[in-house]
Amino acid sequence: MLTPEILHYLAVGLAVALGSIGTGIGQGIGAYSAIDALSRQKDGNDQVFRAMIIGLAFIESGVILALVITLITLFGGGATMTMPIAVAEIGIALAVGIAATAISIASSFALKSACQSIARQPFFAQKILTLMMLAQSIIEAPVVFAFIIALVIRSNFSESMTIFDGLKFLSAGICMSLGCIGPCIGQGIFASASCQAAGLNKDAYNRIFPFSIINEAVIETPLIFCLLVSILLIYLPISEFKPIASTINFLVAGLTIGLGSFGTAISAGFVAGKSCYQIALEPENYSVLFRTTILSQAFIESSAIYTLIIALSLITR
Amino acid sequence: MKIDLFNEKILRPIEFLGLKNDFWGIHIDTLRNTWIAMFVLFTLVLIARHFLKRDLNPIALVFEQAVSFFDDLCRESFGGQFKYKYFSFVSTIFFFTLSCCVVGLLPFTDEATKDLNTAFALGSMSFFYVQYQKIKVQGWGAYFKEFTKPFFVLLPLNIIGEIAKIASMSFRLFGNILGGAIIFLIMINALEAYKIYFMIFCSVTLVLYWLTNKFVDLKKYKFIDVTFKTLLILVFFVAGMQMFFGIFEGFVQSFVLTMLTITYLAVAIQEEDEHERDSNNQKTGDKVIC
Repeated sequence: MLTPEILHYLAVGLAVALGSIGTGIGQGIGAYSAIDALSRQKDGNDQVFRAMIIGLAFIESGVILALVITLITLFGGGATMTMPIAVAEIGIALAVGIAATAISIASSFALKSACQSIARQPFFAQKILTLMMLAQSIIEAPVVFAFIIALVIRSNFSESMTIFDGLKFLSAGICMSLGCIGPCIGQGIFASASCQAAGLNKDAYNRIFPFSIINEAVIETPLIFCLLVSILLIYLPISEFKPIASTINFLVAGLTIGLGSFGTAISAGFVAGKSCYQIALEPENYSVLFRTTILSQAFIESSAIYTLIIALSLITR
Repeated sequence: MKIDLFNEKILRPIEFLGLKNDFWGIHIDTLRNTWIAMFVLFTLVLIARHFLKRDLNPIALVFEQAVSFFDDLCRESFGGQFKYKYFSFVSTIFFFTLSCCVVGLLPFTDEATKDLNTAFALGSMSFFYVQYQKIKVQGWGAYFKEFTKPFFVLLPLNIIGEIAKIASMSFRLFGNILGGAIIFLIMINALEAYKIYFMIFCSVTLVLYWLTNKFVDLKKYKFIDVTFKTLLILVFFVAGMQMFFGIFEGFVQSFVLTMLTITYLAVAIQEEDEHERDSNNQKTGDKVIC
């Protein structure tokens, strides 16, 4: 028999358990690559150590936010436990847990290639560290968005919620959690490529740096669509006349935009990463490479926009 | 086991305006903790002043090392001519955040950064300082033009990206410190004692062990020895956990906050450098060499 208590405690465990999977893997990759870098170039001892401490702190912050959500769910109290609230808490746990896993693994790849680059060029370490920190702070955006969505969902809890409201909040959580995965993979590939490119050719840094800031914003676009849709899902009311059809619409809208963000973000990351290598190899072709990358990314992003249109028309239907 | 997570005293002076949220209230505990942190910092400054006036001595060396660390950090990040311009802001943010994090080690005090409002204030202060410097260096036109890069359509995304910076900075600090504080609270609750009693217990155990060891040959009384060692392991475990979550985590998080501030500042200045170099190249008619 499925009681609200079972779902509640499942949500409590799920958030931090899902989050710790990725953090474990990510911190392992990060520390491994730092030691690898040290064995290659022991003159860069201080710089590699500083990069490792900062990188590991970034990787860890995903699971820390998941822990905070877990503790708020466990000790926060508030409304009495009903079935809709328990279902909504599962949505919160999914959103924060999967986002934490995704960002941890993605930012570990940035740390990995930054360590390799610092081992190559220890006297250029500060610039590479800057590039890595900017990449990691942008990679971290999904879990912050998921955390904000979780807090917003929690602030809308009330005892008069119907099961349809609970499913609506669950769909917002699913939308956010699915929407995190693709952009994180794309950002990870791109951040890894850009840190490696700065290590390959330090004279191309002045080109790579603005290029990476622009491209990180472009790869992030599907995630912002997901944030928009999940905020709409939280605040739009369920139709009173046909609640079942309306709830199904909401769930499908969340799934649509969540799955639609996968391919676009990953391929945008691939394209930008490849172009970063080329900039490092031949910086004089920067303008051609920049134009081609931005144009191709505009085509790639268009499929995310199609899914956004379908999701919006499903919600407002 | 009962844990009071959100049980804090809040004064609401402007509640009659309809602003009932916690954001508009005065958090008494946080205010007190911040004042204690400031007091600790001020005492440290007085001690430093006292010792730096004299000839070389080990305590002055510690303070000089701390200052020269930030000196090097600023020189590496900003370059020589900007070093002293931002040194004071950067080091102040670090030391204030650190003192807010480690003040929880004192009895009857909690970490001031455990409150979201303090973390948000620190994050937004750093953010707005960076924006102010950016406008000062680049001018209003270039500042607003940056939001429309690469296309004008991406304007809302760029604005959301800037706001997400504040959120990620403050939530990282808040989450880490709150997580550490709650873990320590749970552990202390499991021992069914509170911080001050636990500290008395620790010191009494240590003193008793020392005294017994001095006057009695413990190898003959196996039972007392094992009991004392178990207690000592417990004490060092809990003290070690507190050291980890109080000092190490606070240190790392305040360092990350400072490094992020430095990075954002360096980006704002670096673009000006690049701009200047490009315009110089145009003036002299040289080809841009990459």
